[in-house]
Amino acid sequence: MLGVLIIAALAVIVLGGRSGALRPLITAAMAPLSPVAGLLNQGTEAAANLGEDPVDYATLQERNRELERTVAEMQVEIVRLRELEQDYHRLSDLVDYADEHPDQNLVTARVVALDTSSYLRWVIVNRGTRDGIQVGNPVINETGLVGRVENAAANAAWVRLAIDPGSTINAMLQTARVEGTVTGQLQGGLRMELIPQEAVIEAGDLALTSGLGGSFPPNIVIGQVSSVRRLQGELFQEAEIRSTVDFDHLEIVSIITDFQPVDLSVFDDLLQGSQEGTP
Amino acid sequence: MSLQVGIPLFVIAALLQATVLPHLRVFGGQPDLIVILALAWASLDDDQEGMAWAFVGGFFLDLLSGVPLGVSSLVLVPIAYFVGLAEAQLYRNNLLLLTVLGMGSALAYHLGYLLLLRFLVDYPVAWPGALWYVTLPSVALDTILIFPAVRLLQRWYNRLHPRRVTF
Repeated sequence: MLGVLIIAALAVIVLGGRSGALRPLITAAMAPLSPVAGLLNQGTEAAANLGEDPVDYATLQERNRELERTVAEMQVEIVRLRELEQDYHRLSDLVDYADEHPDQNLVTARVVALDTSSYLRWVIVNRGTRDGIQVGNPVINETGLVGRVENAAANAAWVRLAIDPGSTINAMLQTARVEGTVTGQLQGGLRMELIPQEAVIEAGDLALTSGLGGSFPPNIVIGQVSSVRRLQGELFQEAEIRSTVDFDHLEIVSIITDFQPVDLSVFDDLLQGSQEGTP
Repeated sequence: MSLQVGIPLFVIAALLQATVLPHLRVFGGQPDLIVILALAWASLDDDQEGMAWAFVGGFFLDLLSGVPLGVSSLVLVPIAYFVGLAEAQLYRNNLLLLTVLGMGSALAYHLGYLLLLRFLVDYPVAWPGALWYVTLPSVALDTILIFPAVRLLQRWYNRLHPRRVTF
């Protein structure tokens, strides 16, 4: 028996030490053993430390790690709370807007996606026809006009932003009291066109929706005049408008659900009919 | 590519395209993940399966966009067809040819898309601005990304279609 055990021990030494043939067996055995050993070791150390000075190097290291963990957790919490604070301010401003406009029904929605095409400036929001949203509803946020609903499904709506190159908004300058058309630019800006040449426009003047054409309710803030381009010999002048809305960070918007845009297609039909009747 | 893998892959790519990539724009352009994936697969596949995936990819692109459904598919499918026509062995391992292929097909996609946007959807396209501000950076980004995309999908493709060795 002794001889057998000695030979077995030697075999284990040889196999384990040189060829590594026992490595899988060792790994399998260590799997449950390692954590148990760790726990035992910690318990033993804690018991041993009871009688010693508690501020030794290992304890300090462990405390440092704990504090670092706590700081990291707190930082995550701060970021989360900041997000909540920003949401609170946005929603609070929207509530203020709703209080100032009790005649308008507002549905608040979250922007869930931006347009996959780089040529379009649209967003998708998480509310749809189920929430009373219809095509043509104006979209605003706490700082001004965002755009217009162009397509709606039961649980989502596609909003064309005011900065989309295909967006055209009839607008009025608040101080100058002149009207024009605000169109979106691919680079993200807004341009007010068709402003009569004789109008005196100054930077800083507010551009508001005029309500003409019936696509938007009047007096929603679009932006501020940043510069004016007046060309000699032209019938109209142009103004660059700096939007009050931060389109790069749109998160929460409100949709005016009880606004019905005026259907102007009847005039197109009439115009077409009169043209066909003209010899 | 099986449906169980392809559909989720294109869904994830479309979601990334609509959520993450717009925040990483260079000027007005961004990488077109779905276009890259569809064209990379078309360049690898000899059975014209790439066309089917180009269609699916285009569908997901349009689903998260303001353009009518089908516009992107309409542009992508013929490009995938022509990419599939070329002998895959020719450019599969050739960086220069692959770069030319990526640049050419990305450019064709953007120009085709703009043409459809203008003449099919009646969208006001400001050509110089669109070409300089969006098309150029997008094509550059797509060209850079097509090579790693082909390499990545090639491994997968080889698993799905192991080569037969004859003696």
